[in-house]
Amino acid sequence: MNKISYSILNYFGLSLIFVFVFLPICWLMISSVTPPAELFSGTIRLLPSRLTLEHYFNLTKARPILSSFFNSLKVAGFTSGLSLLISIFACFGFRSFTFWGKKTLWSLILFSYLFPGVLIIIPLYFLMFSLRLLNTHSGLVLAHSSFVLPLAVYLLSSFFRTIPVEIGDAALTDGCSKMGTLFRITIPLSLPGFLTVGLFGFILSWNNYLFAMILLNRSSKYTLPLLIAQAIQPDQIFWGDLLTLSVVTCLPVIVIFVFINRHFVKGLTAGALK
Amino acid sequence: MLIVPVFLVLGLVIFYPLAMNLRLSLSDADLLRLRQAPQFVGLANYVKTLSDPVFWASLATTLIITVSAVFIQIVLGTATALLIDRQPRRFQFFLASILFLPYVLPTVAIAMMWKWMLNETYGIVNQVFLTSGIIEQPISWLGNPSLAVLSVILIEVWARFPFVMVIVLASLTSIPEQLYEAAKLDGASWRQLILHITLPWLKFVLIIVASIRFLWTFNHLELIWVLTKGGPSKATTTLPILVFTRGFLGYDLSRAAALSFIMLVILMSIVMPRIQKANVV
Repeated sequence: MNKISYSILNYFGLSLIFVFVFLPICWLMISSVTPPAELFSGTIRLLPSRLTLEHYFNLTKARPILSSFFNSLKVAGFTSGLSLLISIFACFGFRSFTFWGKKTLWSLILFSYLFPGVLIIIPLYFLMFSLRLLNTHSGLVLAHSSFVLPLAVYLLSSFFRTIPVEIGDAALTDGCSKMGTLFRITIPLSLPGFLTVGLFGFILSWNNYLFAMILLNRSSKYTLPLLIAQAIQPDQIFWGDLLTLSVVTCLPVIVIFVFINRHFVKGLTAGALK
Repeated sequence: MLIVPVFLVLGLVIFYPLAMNLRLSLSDADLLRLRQAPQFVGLANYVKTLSDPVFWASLATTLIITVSAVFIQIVLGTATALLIDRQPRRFQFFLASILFLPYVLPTVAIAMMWKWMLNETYGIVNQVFLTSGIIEQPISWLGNPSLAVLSVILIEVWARFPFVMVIVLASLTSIPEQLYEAAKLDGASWRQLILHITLPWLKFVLIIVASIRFLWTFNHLELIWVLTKGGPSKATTTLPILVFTRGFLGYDLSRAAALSFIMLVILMSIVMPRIQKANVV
């Protein structure tokens, strides 16, 4: 085979993968603006005859979408803010100081990063019960920190590694204290890193269903993933609500993704392959 | 001092619960009697769990779903990375980061989008198959036990292969160009280049990625719970689903804790040695 037919095959393969990845997402978006009559007609229609926001209006009437949206925003915002703050100090500590047990402690961070939360849902429920944090957003923020925090430390440390040690050393010889280098050098130089880590932590917490499902059972406290899952009842599935809620939950993620994905994909691969 | 807060939080939400899990699994805690102190019952919960055919059936289900999903993710992710690697360098990163999108979408929304597409009456998949004459009757993708397992695997692949792709791509771009040039001078074909340079170079990374994906797919509760709740007739009841239903719907927290601990032991013995060998941890 010659070069040209190889590259045709190559493009063909890539297009197939693009269709596989984006068809479901596009179909969800299209379905959410299709008139109900066409949605349930049982015939193929690639594009609806007209676009409608009917499902969205129904959604705002039928479900506490706004309060859930703000609940999600609050939980994800606090989780990522808290994790970012803690991880800035932790990463600076790991990078700038030598101390006893450093290696072991670092492996504990990586262990937590890989650790699947489902293995501790039972004791976590107990813990939140005894701390009186069941059905509270603070409890959920704590639970979400169990997976956001290790990832924040992990990602941020790969950003910190790109700052040359010499800059800090130069500042130290000029009479800056070690903590001074944190505020005068490391933090200003890693602002893009903070944004990426913060926003990624936000996405992770925003998407999480597992912990919210266990810790929250009052619908006024529900986050968006819980609200979506609630639209499936044993006797009925509210398709209109499901589709629109899914779109509403995905949109902020897609916006953030478009904004940070370059940095994020870089950080992830740099960390994984160090 | 600076690293104290991170370990305080992780200690509270990961390490203390891990220890507590062990203690719970040796007692008779019940979701309906949370206020009473649980009694110590020894290994009773472990004996009960290990002699329960439901446990072994769902271990098998978990392994089938996990192994096939991870295998397909690795193949598809590597293939995509190889295709992207042959594009001009300035497009590579762009293509990879666009295709990464499914990995960051909320699992619940992913489950819903596929549930809608696979719906028996209104779903586009059945409509396309019916119209093109491939099938005559609508297929109940999530209602038939073996098709439900297949659907779960498909969706798991769709949502997570981008992770494999970006990591393999990063490793591909680190292969020194000279290796290929030397081989080409010796008259190696494209297939030989892949077989004798690319894949051996990737082996190391693939082992790590496969182990991480195994670990996370094995424990993925959200997707299956939203899609099928473990049904139909327990066909998709994986171990995490069993932990959740035993603990929170069956009220038997201690048996669920014992089950979690058994899962931890299985995972530690299968996955951790591989990851550790690869020097990631």
